[in-house]
Amino acid sequence: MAKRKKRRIKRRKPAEAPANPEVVLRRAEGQLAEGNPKRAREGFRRLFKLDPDCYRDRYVEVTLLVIERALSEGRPKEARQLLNHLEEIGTEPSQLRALQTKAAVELGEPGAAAEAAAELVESGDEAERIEAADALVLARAEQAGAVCEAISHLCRGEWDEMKAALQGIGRRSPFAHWRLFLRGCAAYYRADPREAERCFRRLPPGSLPARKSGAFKVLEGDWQGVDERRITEACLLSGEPVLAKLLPAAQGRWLSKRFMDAYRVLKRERAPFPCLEVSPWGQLTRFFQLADMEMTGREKDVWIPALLKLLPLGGRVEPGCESYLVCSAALREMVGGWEERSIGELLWPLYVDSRERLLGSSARFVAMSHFARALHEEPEEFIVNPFWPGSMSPSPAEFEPAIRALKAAIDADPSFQDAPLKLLSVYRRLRRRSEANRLLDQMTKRFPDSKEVLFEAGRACLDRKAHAKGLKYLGRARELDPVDPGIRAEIRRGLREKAVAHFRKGGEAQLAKGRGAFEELLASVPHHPGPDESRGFLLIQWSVLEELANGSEAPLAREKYAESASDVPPDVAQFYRAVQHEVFGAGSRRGRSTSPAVRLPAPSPREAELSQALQIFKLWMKLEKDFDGAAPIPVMFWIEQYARAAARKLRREDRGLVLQLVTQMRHAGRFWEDLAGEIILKQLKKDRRDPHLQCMAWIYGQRPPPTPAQLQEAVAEAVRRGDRDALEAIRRFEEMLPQARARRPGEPPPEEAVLDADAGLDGVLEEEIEGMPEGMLDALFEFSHDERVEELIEAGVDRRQAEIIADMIETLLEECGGAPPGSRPRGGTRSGSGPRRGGSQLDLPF
Amino acid sequence: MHPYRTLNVPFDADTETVRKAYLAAIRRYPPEREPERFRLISEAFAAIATEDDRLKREIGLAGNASDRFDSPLEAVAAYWRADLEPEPPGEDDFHAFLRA
Repeated sequence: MAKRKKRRIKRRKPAEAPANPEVVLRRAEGQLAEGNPKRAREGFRRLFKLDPDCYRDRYVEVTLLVIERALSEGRPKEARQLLNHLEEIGTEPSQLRALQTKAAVELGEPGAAAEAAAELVESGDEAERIEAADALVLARAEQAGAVCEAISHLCRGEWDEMKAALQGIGRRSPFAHWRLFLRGCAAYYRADPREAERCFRRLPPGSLPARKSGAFKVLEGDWQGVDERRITEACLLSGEPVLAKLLPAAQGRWLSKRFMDAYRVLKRERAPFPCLEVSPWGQLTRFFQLADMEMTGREKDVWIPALLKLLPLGGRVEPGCESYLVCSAALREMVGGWEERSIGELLWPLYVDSRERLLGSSARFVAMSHFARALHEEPEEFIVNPFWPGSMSPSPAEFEPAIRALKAAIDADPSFQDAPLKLLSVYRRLRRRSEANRLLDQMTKRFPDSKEVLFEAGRACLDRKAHAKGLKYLGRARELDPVDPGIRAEIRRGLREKAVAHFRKGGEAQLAKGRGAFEELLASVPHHPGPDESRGFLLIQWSVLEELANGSEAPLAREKYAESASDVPPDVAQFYRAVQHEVFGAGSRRGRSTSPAVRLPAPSPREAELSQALQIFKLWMKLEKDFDGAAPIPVMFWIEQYARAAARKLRREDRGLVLQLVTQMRHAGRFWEDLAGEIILKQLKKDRRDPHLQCMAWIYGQRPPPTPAQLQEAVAEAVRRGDRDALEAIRRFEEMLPQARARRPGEPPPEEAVLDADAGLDGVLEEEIEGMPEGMLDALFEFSHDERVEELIEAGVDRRQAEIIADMIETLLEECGGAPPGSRPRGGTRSGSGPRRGGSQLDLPF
Repeated sequence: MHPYRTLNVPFDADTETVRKAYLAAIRRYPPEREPERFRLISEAFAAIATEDDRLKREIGLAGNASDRFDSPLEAVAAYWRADLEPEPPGEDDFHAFLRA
């Protein structure tokens, strides 16, 4: 069947309407002025056709503009076509040479570039000469022979020969910048990056060497924000042409989260990847091996299964570098569910086999891998609330996988001491003392010269009150590492406990041993002693023990005590002495009732200082454990009086000390928290807008829980003051607030949550408010804050409660925009306060 | 950091090889003349001085902070930076670099 030919209908192009040349010229000039030379060229082309003699120059001028733009925008082919056209219409060649050179360079045609540049390099202007010289070097043209010879010497590491080759290039030569560039390159390879940088900085901007010098910066580690071309250049410069082809693509894919694509790209072109060599490929292998550590949970969920697909399902997997990479990443991430464990059991032998095939068998490697798994398996303490003490400990059963892995590590390589040390810490966490002691005995036999083992053994002995044995272990540990601060601190603890034990036993021989221990302690006071470790505190403790143990040594005790006065403030010394009497006096012959120091005088307000109150409190926090939970009343009373007296004369400058003090008191029990609350309110009077103190007042319940607007205001104030600590405290407080926890992002806070948060405080205050005389509450709205407090105290309300009620009234007035008291419904302190519930989510600047 | 590259030893080098490489490197770059390089060498040696150090690094138990990178380029750049004596590329590679 004959093919039916389609009739091709040729559309006739509409003939260009003859236009008025003046109109065309005006329009073209206008387009040129608007920055559109391409459009303008069309107009000039029409004019050139009409009258070549008249419009030639202008047409050529505009076309050259279009060529320049095409070259600068990366369209060298278009530029080449236009250049050819200009040549055809008989344009002067000197006008075209610079652009012809540029186009040839861009098109990767060194021969053509050299041809165009040969004349230009002699006759062009400065920029053109440089460009021509670059083209000649790229073309390895004869004119650039000296530069090419120098490059050849550079690549062979022949520095002197390179220098000699460059000598022929004069300062005014168009190749002068190449001399500078090659000197910079040589400086880089001769490990003198400063000289290289100095040379590169002096290169004429826009020249080829100036552009290429950026690649050296990538090799120096300045890789941020570099484009693909620069990556390729750096790879070529490091002698890795295959990497130059693959790395830019892999980098792009990785950054667009196509992780497995990035991995696959690197396996193209028969690249030696993955491998364990010391090369960029080995480094990339290690990168992919550890990549999961930098990923988010969701990214890992994609990455690990994709990696596992590299191992063929069902078939035998040949142990090698890829299986080693896959198994090590997958096993690290597979801690948890039972189904994952079963995969883990399949991967483990492959992992060990692969490693053995690559680097030989190693019992230590197997032990360490078990150890690594144990670290992942060991459950962490879960902190319930960042603000309040206490944590939810994991159950003993949750430790079993870690214990099994550690035992496997010990079996695999008994000489690997980290595994038994870790097992010891697990046993301690579980309070399995007998197993811990048994393990320690084995460890001291197996690792008699290990500092870590001796240290742990010493600590365990001190915990068991076996001071002599513990100090012996610790002494040996110190011989192995004389500067370890942990060992030294443990020795000081042992000596102190030993001294106290001897003094408590009584008898001259024991006292002599105790004194010996104290002498040793005094000789080893650290440079930065703890709350009671300085020389003064040691002397006070010694003097108290002397007093209590043997009356005949009282002069010595007094001497020691007097000596202590040098570095301990008197009030702190008095307090410490009293507490030591309380601690050691109870079981002694003389007993606490006869000790004059116990009866601490009430401090005079003039003498009490906040810094000393803080020191005393820190001391107390450390010493409290000595009382087995039953704090002696005189001491407690004295501390309270002292802290109150110190807080009585607070100044604005004491803010830092107050914050330290109340932060320390936060976990110290109800008594201390009440005291801290009072101190906070006092300090707040000095600066009502202080964001950190406000936050502490909310935490301690001295102020009603804040509205989102108040929180936002506190944040704004903290930002204004540049108070980062306050910002951090507010952020943590906001996390703790129930309404914040119950809320999803963007969701308004539920009313119930706000009410629940406030319910506790309202419940306490409800009774006070209900019990007020009729009209008093409304009258309180008329008073200032301080007047309100005084009025409430006169009405029989406790000062703290009065402060809170006054604050609440202030808050309500602020929220209602100063509404008249009559408009406020009686009985509910929170009802009808719109802004409190409807505030937007807190916008914290972190 | 890439301690093997800095000390110029293979990945399966033993303790003695690493120690010898370290001594040679600090002799070449003594602290009084090359403090920065000496610091790099010391850090590299501390990272792989013993078999345990090398294995911990290999397994991911140690050296993680300096070994974790956000992208392949960052990892390779760290390798390049660890090179105390970079060698110039071949002549053809250098010209390819100029043409790239």
